[in-house]
Amino acid sequence: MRQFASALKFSFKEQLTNKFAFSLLVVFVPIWYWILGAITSNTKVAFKFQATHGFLQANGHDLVLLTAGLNVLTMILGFMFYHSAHRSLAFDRRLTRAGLGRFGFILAKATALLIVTAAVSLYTVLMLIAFWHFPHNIFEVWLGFWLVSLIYASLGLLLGMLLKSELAGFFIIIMVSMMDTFLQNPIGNPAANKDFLKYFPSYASTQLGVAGGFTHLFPGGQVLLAVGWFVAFLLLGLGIFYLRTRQRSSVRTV
Amino acid sequence: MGAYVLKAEHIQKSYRSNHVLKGVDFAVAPGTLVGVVGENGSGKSTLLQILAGELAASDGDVMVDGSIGYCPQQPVVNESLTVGEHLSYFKEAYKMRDTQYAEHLLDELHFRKFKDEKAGNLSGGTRQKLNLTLALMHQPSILLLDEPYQGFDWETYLRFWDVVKELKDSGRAVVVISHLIFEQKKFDHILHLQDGKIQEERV
Repeated sequence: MRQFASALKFSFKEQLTNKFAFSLLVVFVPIWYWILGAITSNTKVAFKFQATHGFLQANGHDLVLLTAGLNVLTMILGFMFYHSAHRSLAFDRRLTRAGLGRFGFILAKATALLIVTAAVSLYTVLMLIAFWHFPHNIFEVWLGFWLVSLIYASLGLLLGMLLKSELAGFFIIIMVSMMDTFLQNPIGNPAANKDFLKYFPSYASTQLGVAGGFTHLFPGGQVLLAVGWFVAFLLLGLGIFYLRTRQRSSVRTV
Repeated sequence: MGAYVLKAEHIQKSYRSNHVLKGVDFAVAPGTLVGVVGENGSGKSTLLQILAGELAASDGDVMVDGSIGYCPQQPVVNESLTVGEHLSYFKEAYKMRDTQYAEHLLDELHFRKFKDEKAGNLSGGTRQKLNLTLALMHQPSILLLDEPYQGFDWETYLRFWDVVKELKDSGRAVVVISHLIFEQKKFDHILHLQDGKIQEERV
């Protein structure tokens, strides 16, 4: 238990000392919302809404800001968790060699990820409301934001376990995030009604955000889909962490 | 195992067709100081990593009676944590009651004033002191040190050897990779690694 408490405390510390990521949140997020809000009109656009299997007429300005919020979370949280996983793998391995239990360590990392993503996504939703109408269901919008944060933080962690070049991970996160969130937005992509888009990681979170922002519906199936992405990335990332911190030795204690 | 705290039997390590270690055998008794010497690329660090359990041998066994402390050549620390936080984290990992011995090392290696400093802000030499402290703080039965004094000033270098003597006198075995001819008289045994084997064992 004491090992878990230490691992949790220092996993938090690692994230909270990422000054660059926090500067991006404080400075970049409001600027991003403001710029996109300023250049987008309030014209209604058709959005393929899965809960009704039909098209929803949503305010274009608000829809763009919603996808902008999702986009910024995917990049910042993907970067934060990739950066820490990539940098601390050798140190984490040293800790497990010293006797830190791997199961508790993994649990601590997962707990830190859940809490940090919850807090950052809440901040991003609150900033969104400053530039938006008040959503029909703020909890639902936040849930969509949190789920996309969980998916990309786990993807960052997974890439941190796999890639040797730090720069490669950053580029992969940026490219995947751009492709994924841009395609969900019917203003950026008029073909956003295509069926194959539902296989993209941010699809379910976008659907939830739209449901919370513009309707009184709760598409529960989308929560399961997003949780599926999150759990798959997290299990892969932590599974590789478990393997990479194992004793690969020929040492026998007598 | 009795008389030995560490015994290596026929250790081999190959990377595809590159046979780095071709059958290394030796044993280390408690309270002895062993130097591992050899040219660059002779496999000294590979051997130490295998002994420490960081790397699997292609063949052979390592038997250890007690706990291991391993100090890698490049400091393995967390840049976002302070020196004090490192000690606290490793205290839990090693399941120690307190950090009394680590605190003693802060004084002995002259870096107590950096206790609240993040590892990312430390100089190379001070990082190396922290790297060494993390390997020693649980007072293991055998210490495996891969050129642990890189970046040390002369005074700290001398203090390092005082710490090693203190450990040796308390019955701990210490294995050090060394490049320096003048320090070879400090060792009880010298293992000369050449062509993947111990060519010479001088006592």
